[in-house]
Amino acid sequence: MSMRRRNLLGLLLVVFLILPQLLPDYYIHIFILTFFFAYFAQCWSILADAGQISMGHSVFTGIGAYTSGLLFIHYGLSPWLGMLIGAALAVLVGLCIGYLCFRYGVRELFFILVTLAFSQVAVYLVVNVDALGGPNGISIPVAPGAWNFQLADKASYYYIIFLGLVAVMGLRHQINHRKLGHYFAAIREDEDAAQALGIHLMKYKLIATAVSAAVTALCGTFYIQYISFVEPESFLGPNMALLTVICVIVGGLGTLWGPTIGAAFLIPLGELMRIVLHGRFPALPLMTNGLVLMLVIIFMPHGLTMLADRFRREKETESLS
Amino acid sequence: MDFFILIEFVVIGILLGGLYALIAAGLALILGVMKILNFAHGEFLMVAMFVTYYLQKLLGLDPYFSLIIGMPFMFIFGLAAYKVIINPVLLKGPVNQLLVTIGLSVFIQNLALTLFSSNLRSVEVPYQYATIIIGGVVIQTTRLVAFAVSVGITVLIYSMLRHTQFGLKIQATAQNRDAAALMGIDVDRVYMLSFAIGIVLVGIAGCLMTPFFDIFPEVGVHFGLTAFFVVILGGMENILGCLLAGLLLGVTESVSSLFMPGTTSHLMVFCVFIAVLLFRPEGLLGRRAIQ
Repeated sequence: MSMRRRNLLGLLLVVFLILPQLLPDYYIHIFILTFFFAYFAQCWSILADAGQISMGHSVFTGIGAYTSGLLFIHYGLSPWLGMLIGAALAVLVGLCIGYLCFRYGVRELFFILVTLAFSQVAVYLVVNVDALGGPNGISIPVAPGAWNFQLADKASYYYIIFLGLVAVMGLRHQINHRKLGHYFAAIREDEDAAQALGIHLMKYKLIATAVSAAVTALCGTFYIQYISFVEPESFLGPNMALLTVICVIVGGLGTLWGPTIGAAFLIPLGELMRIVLHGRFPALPLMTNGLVLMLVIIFMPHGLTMLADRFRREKETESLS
Repeated sequence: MDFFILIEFVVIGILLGGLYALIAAGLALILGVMKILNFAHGEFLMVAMFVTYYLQKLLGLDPYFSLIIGMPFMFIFGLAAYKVIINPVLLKGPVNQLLVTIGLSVFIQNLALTLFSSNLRSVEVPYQYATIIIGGVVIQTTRLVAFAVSVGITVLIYSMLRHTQFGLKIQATAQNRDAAALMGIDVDRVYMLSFAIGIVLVGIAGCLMTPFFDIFPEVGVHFGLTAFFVVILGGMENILGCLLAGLLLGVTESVSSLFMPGTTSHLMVFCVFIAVLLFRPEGLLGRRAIQ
């Protein structure tokens, strides 16, 4: 990392740490949502780095939210602990789904369909089981306190999800610059070639699934503690996972900054549209997302990060000449 | 008495299954020829239903009669969608192709929500509640018509693929795009027409459904997912397989709704879906080793 780059990142970090002290609550809320989806998109990308495009990641956020939520409601267990149990459960479920898919060589389109179907199964399962809250979902009873993960102001939630995002980006950066990341890349580029080189496909795909599932489940708990309510259709269904995937594609699939940049572009855009429209036409933000997704795939398949790369390259050629 | 109810649900299932087959036939055609899974298929169905609705409301056209306008409309819509969205991503790999149709699906569905809101609408025709009784089983006439036309068109498309020159061109392109191009087949034209025909098929289904099915922007979601299921159960590129799988699924859904409470029947459908994807991805009738 160049000196200039490091300075820039440090400056960004400081700005984002000071920001919530200056902004009114509503804008902090937009930042929290943006960081949440950026975090979610980064978690999703860990699996995508190993070449697996999943449409069922809301299963993992769902497990995180429902586990910590139900444990708190019924046993008063702190969501901080419930979070870890949720993550463990998500890893278990992820390994089961992953084992089934990878064992039978489900690839590309089929993997997308299977994971999509699993998220539908999760919705119908929760809707039909009263112990899981049924169709109305579950809401967290009010009990303020840091140990109960019910914090006094939005700024606290802001710091938690911001640090989470920084941590998960650090994790991805670390993975991709180690042997594990090189294995992932080999599998992503060409599974058969990777296998021929002696890479244990099942093992490394399962590792990617487990890591991705664990960190994804954590943000499920964050979501339910922040919103204090989840509802199966919107939270477990494919919509939220879809929005996350759109963020990644728009930002740039397979890049470290892509998911964050995609979320930073789409989420505030949607929220701003909501402010401008005063609640009229609630479907307009999603419509825009669909349009942006098509435009990005057709005109810049490497996403918004490509713009930055092109800019840098032009600058380099300028300085050379 | 119980027996009669069971028969009635089986019949309803079969009639619904015919529609599933027609919707899935369009999807299978597109998938078979250009290896693209059209995620927006259900949304095209929804568009056709709204076209039928507005033709009836504004011009007073009978839903069946409005096919004369609806079919060319869907054909042109399909052509435009192909030109603008599908053609640019033909060489960009299956994941990008799927994602672009996901984008299209999200776009169309939310455009419809913005324009028409999520209210339920229905087409009102004098014969809406007409029934005929066959062997003691009461059947809604509109459903019977939808079934008969669906099955007829599915079989027609199947024989078109097998026996006409254009059908053979489609098959050749489906088998090997480059070889077909070398034999002098205009591959791009075949792609474009297959896509448009696939959209027309789903459009016909949408039109046939309007007399007995509510029209709303999210109507395509269920039918789109069902069409995936039918196509995969039927063996991807096999249109007769679609017919069989469509009927099977229609009956399963209808009969299981008789025995299972609430949405548990959907749960069953998805579990079977996952099992088929995992253990027999080539479909019930298909050959082995289709990637």
